[in-house]
Amino acid sequence: MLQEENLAGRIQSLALKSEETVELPPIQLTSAQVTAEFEEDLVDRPELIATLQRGSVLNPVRESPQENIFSVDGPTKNFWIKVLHSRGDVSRIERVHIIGVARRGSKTQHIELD
Amino acid sequence: MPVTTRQLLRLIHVIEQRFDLTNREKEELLSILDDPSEADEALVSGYFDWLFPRATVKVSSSDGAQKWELQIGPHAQIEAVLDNIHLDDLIYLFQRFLDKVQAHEVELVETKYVITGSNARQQLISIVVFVRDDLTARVATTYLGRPLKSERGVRFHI
Repeated sequence: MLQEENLAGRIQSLALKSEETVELPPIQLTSAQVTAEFEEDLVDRPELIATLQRGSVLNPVRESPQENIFSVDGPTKNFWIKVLHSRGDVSRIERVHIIGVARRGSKTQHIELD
Repeated sequence: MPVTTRQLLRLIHVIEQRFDLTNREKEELLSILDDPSEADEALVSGYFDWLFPRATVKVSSSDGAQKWELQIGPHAQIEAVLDNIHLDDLIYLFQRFLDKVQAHEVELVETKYVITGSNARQQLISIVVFVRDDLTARVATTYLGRPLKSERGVRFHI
């Protein structure tokens, strides 16, 4: 359904954008603050929360022209995430959205079909 | 890269055609798209994601030996709409990928694949797919052209 309260105040959470590596200080997130593009990826949510809790390094994803998807390594998994912060306060992380999860250290394969 | 007017017009067109939305919902959504900077913020923050629930399609190689479930989430669907990439294009590209994999007896492993190739309209498209052991492949992102930047990784032509 339409998010009425957000519409009234328009967009309150903005996506972090950067072409450079971002060092995140330790952040505390509840489970509700970590969402996923594919709900099956939520099984790895505890590892991501614990990783972000320790402080983490976000690397812009090189395979996408966008600047709002970051790669972060947990102990066993590699996460592609979007980081949503409060308007007017970049340090206040409101939500982290998981785009994809792979094994940590797995190599990206580039395939040219033509 | 900020969203362009042309891209916004494509999204507006899709929203206008949606029969499952009320006129009020459409008006409110379209009012956000009136302002390009607000539209850009809304798009990257996932505000429109709920409009595009996951699409799941069974895709097989031409010989039927490879059978996969291709899943496309809201993020990738919105990117596709903005770039005039159709769901059929993603299926076509993934099927070609499976055909090549099958023809060259390449074993797919659980990792990310950046697949670049032309669609039926001769547009060069890239998709990033998270391939999983359970024979599902999740499209994480899609865009026109090939990746400008390259991460450490294996590049091969098959």
